[in-house]
Amino acid sequence: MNNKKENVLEINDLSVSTSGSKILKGLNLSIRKGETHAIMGPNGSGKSTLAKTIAGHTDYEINNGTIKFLGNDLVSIPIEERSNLGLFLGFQYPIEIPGLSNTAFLKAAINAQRKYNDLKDIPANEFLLELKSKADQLGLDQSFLSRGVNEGFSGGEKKRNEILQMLMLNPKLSILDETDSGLDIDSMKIVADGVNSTRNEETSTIVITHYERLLNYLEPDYVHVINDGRIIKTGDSTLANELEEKGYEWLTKKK
Amino acid sequence: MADQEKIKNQFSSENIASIISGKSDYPDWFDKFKRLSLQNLLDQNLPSIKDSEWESTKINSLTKKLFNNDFDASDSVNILAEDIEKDTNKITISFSNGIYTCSEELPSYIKILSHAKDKDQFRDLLDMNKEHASSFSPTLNSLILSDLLLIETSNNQKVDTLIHIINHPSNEANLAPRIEIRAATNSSVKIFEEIKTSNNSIMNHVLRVNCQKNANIEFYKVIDRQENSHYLGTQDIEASEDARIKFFLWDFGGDTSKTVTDTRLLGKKSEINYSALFTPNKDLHSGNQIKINHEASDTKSKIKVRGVLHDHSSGVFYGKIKVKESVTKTSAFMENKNLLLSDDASISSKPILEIYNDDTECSHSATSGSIDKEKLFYLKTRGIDEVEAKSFLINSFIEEISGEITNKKIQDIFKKYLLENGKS
Repeated sequence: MNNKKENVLEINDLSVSTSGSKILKGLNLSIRKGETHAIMGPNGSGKSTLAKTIAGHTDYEINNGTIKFLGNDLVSIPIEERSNLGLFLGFQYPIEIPGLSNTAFLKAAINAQRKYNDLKDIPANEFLLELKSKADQLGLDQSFLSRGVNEGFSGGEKKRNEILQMLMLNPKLSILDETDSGLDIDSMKIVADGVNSTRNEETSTIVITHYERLLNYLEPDYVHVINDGRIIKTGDSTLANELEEKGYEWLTKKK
Repeated sequence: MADQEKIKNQFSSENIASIISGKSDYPDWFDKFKRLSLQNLLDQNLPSIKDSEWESTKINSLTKKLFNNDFDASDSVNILAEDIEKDTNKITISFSNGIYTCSEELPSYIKILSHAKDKDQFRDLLDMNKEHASSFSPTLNSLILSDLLLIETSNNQKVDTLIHIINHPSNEANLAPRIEIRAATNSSVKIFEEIKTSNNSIMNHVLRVNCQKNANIEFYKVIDRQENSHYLGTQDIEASEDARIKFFLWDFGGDTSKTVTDTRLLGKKSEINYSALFTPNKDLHSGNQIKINHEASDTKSKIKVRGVLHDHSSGVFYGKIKVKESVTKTSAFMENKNLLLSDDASISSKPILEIYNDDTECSHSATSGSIDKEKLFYLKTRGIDEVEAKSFLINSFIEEISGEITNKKIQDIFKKYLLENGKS
């Protein structure tokens, strides 16, 4: 790792509660440009809470701590502005919006980002060519583009549609919340290839997952284990193999 | 009874017809028809929220205004030329100041009837026996109306031309458009009616539809926002064997706006597809009442109604499907969904099934709620700001119902309305 690279995300002593329950309890995490981090952990340990808090979901109340994204204090920044700054959340359960076409939705998202960066709207032809090429890359039929957002999509199609949005928005930090759940082996390979195609010196990724399989494709730089709202262990990609073999108990059992 | 006294005083003249329909001479039968209508009106109670038909309807300013407006119809018709688009596949008919007109020659299947023109047919259609003695709005229509638009196809006639009816704006008037549609056996016809915004007016609209064996009628209607005006619509629909009716209504709301549709599926395998959307804002009101009577076997009905309520607006949905005891193998679907965009907006929704025969497939549902915050969050995480995200979600809610429009030309017109609505 190059220690001189700047931090994309810097989380310090983060405590978060939702519906009166404390979920995150003093979590620390730093991610530098170009890195891929995996976050693993038992159910209810706070993985999705972390993802949604970074994205700005209003159900999650920050009781303590800071989140910095590219040097900006994220807590005071509206959800849409976080996206326009280059943050992307791939949903565990992508939302269906019947009546709003995938194409219109993506075009609005791209133009919002361009407007934020003082750029003119994307020319229609350029947008459609790029959209079709990215959809091809993910094996999504063109018919998905004119359908309502995620409307009637299978679980796997929804996840691929999330990656399509990621490819189109070209974020600086992507948080993929259990993107591998509900994917068959072929789809997982396509999704992993899609994610890998965006990796470069400037982009970073957080992959939240329960399984080693996706990590075999993505080869993360770090693997973190989260339990009871804190990161309790950090290692390299071999930690994921160890977890696959031994489960979490050897780490979470109170001594 | 004070209001009844007002009515009496207003129509105490010797010649009622000339008072309410202009200054020209009127035949005795027309005057008699008006007197009967007046008597019918006097026999009734004025709209009251105590009456189940008017429950939850915003009627205060309606009843106040009802007898203060001018009942005289002007003989002059003022229509801007640009209002009438030239289109060979469309014929435009205008209703202005109580009178129907058309700038081009009417095809044989469209007639504008008056006491002076086609008077026998006019008289037949105004048969008192057919009038709604028990209902306020159509009786008031009978009292005020001046002429009538008849659309009558002949057997096997497929009308490709879109019939576009525009009800032009009017000021401080009591208006009574009346449309009669008669689709003969194996015929088809498509109609689009627009009610433009008026100022301080009351429109009492009556539509009667008769769809004969294997005939097909598509009727699309938009009632534009009536900020200080009232719209009352009474629609009676009858379907014979194998007849198919598609009805689509978009009501932007008014000081009071209320549409009552009564449908009778009289012939085997007849069907109606009724879709409606109401989108009142500010403190406007929109009421949508639809009753469907399955009076023959193998009949089908589908009711799909959406309400989008902004600001302090209010809405009413009342849907009733009745299946007679002797009737079998029917299918009935009723769904009402409402989107409340403010804490001050309100909706009263009553979906009712009255089923007297078990051999039927029926479902009904009603839901009301605000914008789904998870959907809003999803859109915002893609950089879309709150205003645009909400507009997308409102439009996607509306699109669920505008998808029922199958006619391309009408689709384009509705897209224009949708775009304008999205901005409001």
